[in-house]
Amino acid sequence: MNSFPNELETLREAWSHLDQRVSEFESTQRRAHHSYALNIQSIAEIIIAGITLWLAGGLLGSHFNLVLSKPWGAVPALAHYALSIATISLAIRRLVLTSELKWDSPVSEAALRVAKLERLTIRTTGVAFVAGLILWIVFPVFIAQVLFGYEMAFIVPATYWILNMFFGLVVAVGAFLLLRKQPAGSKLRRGLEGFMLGTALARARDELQRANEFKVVPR
Amino acid sequence: MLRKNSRSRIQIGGVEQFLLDHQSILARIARAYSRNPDERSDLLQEIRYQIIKSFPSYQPDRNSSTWLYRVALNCAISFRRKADRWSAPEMDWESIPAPSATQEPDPRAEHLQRLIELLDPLHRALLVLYLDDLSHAEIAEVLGISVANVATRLSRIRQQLRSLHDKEQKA
Repeated sequence: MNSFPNELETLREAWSHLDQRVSEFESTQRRAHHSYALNIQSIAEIIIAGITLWLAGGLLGSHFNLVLSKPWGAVPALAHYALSIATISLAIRRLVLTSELKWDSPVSEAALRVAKLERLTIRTTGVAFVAGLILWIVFPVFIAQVLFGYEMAFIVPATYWILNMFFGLVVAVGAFLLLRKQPAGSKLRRGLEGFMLGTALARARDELQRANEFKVVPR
Repeated sequence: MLRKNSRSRIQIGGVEQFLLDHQSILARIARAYSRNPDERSDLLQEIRYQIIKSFPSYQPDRNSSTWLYRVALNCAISFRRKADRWSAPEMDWESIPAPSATQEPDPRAEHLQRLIELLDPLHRALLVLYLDDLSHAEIAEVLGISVANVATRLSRIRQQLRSLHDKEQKA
């Protein structure tokens, strides 16, 4: 193509040509859609976090005197309690944003809601990942306390905490090595980089800003 | 119950015809938001599903294309964002499939496809509507922005495309 079409009008013919090429794909196999996936995920998170909240609340309530006299033993339950509340509130926020998304609303409005939902999803996953690494250490202790009593927190040796922290470190190094082994253009590498370097969240923020600005006439 | 069932049947028949009548629009939108054939097939299914799901809110006395463009573009933008959630797609222009031997190769179509992919999802929507021959007022209604905004942004897209073209020529 040697000369640039001065007006977009001249590209309309090319546009209709694309339409013909696309119609070839009309007969491709039907695939299951995943529209409900996010809602199902949010509901599952609420149920699991609700159960955890109930277990943590029950443990703290039934050993209230011990909690006051030996507060360190309450750390696993309090960590789960806080995470459960955060999970439930984020999942509810996601459900609300999803329900507010009206598909036949003006594109600029819907895009704004989609951008907000994306930012929330990326942020939630990041928080869940970090919390998961921390809770990996306290989760078995919490379960032991629920099953066998509050005192279980004090029979866990220091080596347990050290080994579990070491395991977290191994996971982080493993992820880094996996990242380096992938070719520069691979989707996995870009995805991991986007997550670990925070570029995915930065991009989601940019998208939200662009969606906000789209309604205003540019200067 | 019988009345409800017969209404559903009418509605299902209506939406099927509606999808048939507008399939070329849906195909063009899917093309603008996905280069990969498998992904595009998924997107088309997703758009059809959302149209069927949103069809009860469709009012035949109102402009049908405005409603259709809104649902399809909203679905395509959401799909694109989900697909690019953790990593933005790399701009690999060489990987755009070449026209098949049975078709007339149109270099402008290839060029246009590349240019569309360089725009963000909202500006893509604007360009798609423009290329589909909608007036500035109709574009404004679909997008929910002012007519002046449409005109200004189209002018910016023209400038952007021109500078991209110049860059390509130099390369």
